[in-house]
Amino acid sequence: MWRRAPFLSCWARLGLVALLVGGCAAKADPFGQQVRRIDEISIAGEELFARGELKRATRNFSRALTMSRSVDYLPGAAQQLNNLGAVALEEGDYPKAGDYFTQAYNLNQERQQFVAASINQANLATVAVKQGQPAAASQHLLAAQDAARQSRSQPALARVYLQWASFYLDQNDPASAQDFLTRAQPLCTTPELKGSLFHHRGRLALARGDSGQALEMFTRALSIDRSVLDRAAMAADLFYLGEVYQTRGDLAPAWDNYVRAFDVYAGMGRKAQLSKCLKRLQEVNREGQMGNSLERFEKLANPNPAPS
Amino acid sequence: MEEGFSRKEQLAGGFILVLIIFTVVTLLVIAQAKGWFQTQNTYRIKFRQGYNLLQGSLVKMFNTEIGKVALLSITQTTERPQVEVIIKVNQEYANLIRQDSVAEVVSPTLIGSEYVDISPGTSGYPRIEPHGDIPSRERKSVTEHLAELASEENIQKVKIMLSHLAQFSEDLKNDEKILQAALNHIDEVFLNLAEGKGTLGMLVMQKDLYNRVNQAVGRLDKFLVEAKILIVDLKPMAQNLGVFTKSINQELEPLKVIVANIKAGSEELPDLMEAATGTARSAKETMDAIKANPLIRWTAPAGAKSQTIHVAPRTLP
Repeated sequence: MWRRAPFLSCWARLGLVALLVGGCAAKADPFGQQVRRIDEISIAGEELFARGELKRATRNFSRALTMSRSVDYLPGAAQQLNNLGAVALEEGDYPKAGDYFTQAYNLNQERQQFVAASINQANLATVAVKQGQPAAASQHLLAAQDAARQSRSQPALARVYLQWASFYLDQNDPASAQDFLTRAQPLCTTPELKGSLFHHRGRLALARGDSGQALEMFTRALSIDRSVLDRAAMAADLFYLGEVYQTRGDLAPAWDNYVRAFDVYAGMGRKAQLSKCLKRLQEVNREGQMGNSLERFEKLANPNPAPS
Repeated sequence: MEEGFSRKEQLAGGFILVLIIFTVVTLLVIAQAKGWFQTQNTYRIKFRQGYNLLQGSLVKMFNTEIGKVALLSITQTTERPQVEVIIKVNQEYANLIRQDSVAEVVSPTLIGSEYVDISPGTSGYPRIEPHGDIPSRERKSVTEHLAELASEENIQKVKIMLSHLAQFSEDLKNDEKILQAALNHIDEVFLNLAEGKGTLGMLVMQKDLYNRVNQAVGRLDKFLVEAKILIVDLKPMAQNLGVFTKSINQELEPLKVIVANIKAGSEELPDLMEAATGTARSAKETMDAIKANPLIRWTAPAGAKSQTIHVAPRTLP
C-alpha cells in the first residue's frame, strides 16, 4: 500500500534542499537592488502618466532621475529625462519637452542605446509636429529611423515606420503612408505595435473613403489596445470609430463611440482631446436631432467656463 | 405979424420939462435908495494887513450892514507899516460903537468877499467919537490856524486818540466776528431745534419721544426689579456652579493622565516607525533574496519593466 506521508515528506525535503542550493547560488547585488527600486518608482510614474496625473508622474520621474544619477545609472537617467519630456509634451510645454528629449538622446547616443535613442528622436518629431514644423519633424524621424536600424530591433524600426505613416496621414499623403505601413507590417510583432498598425490602417482607409475597411481596422485595433490596456490608444480608436460612423451617417453609434472616447479621455485628464470629443458630440447631436443632454460633457470639458 | 410961441412949440417945451422933472425925481429916488442923503460917521481901523479888503467892502454888526469901507491906505508913521482902513458907518448905529468894540476882518466860508465886522460895544463904555480909532483884532490866517492846530501837543493827542480809535475799531471788529459767529451758531441751533433734529430737537419738538423715553424708563425700572429678583435666584445657582466646577476638575484629572500617556506614546512613535521601517526593509530584502533564487525567478511571472515612453502619435483630427 502506498504510504502518502513518507512520500510527501521526502519530496518536501528535496524541495527545501533545492531552494537552499538555489539560494546559495544567488549573489548579493546592491546596485541591482537600487536599479530595481528606480524601476519601481518609474513604473509607478508611468501609471500616473497614463492616468493623466501629470504632477504626480513628474514627481516620480524626477525622483527616479535623481536616484539614477546618484548611483551613476545612466540608462535610467536617460529614461527619466525622456519621460519628463513626455510629461512636458502633454502639458504643452514644447520647448521644455524638446530640451528633455534632446538630453536623453545625447545620453543614449553616447552609450549606444539606439532603441531608446530612436524613441527620443521619434518624440522630438512629435514635438516638431505640435510646433507646426513638419520639415524638422521629418528630420527627427530620419534620425529615429537610423537609430532603430543601428539597434537592429524590429519593434523599434516598426515604431518609426508607424510614426512615418502617421506623419504622412497628417500631411494628407495616403500613398506614402501606405508605403510605410506596408514596411511596418512584418515588423509588428508585439500587441502594442499590432494595435498601432491596425489603427493607422483604419485612418488610411478612412482617408480613402473606405468606411467599411476603416470600421474593421479600428475595431481590431481597439480589441488589441484594450488587451494591453493602452488607454490613450483605446480612446483614439473609439474616436475614429465615431468618425467612421458619422461619415456613414450612422449617428447613433457615432454618438456612442464619441461618448466612450470622451469618457476614456476624461479618465486620463486629457483636456485638449475632451474638447475635440465634445465638438463631435455637439455635431452629431445637432445632425441627428437627438436632443441628448450635453451638460455632463460640457462640465467636464470646460470645468471653469468664462463668466458671461 | 403976430409974435409968441406956436402951439407945437409949447407942446415940445412942455414935454421936455416933464422929462426933466421925471429924471430929477428918478435921481432923487435912487440917491435916497443909495443912502446918498444919509449922515455917516467916519472911523479909522488899523490892521497889520488889508486882508483883501476893497473900497466899498461892507461893514457889518450882528451880520447886518451898517456901513462901508471908504478908503484903504498904508501908513508908515510907526516903526511897523500898517494898513489904515477908513470906514463910514451910518449915524443911527454910531451909539453901538464904543471903546470895547473890536473890529475884525471876516472871510466868508465859500462865496462872497471879506468884510469888516464890528462887535457892538457895551453900554458901560463910552462912545467912540467920529474919526476915532476902533480897536482891531488881527484875523488868523489858515496857516496860523493850522499851525495852532498842528502843535506837538495836539498831534500827540491826536495820535493817542487815533491809536485808541484803531484799537477800539479792532476790538469792535473782533467782537463783531465773535458776535456774528455766536449769532450764526444760535441761528443753527434754533433751526435744528425747530426742525426737531438732534436729541434736544427731538426732545423739544417730538412729543412721541417724550412718551417713548417715559416708557423706556418705565421698562428699565421693571427690568431692574426683575434683575434684583434674578440675582437673588442666581446666588444658589452660583453655589451649585462651584460644585459643578469641582466635579469637572475631578473628571479632568483622568483626562490629563490619558493625554500624558498619548504624549509619551507619541514620543515613542518615531522609534516605533523606525522599527517598522527596519522590519519592512528586512522583509523586502528577504523577498529580494527569495526572488534572487534562480528556481523562484524562473518560475515567477515576469514583472512589468519600466520603459522609455514613446508619446503615442495617435493624433486626433
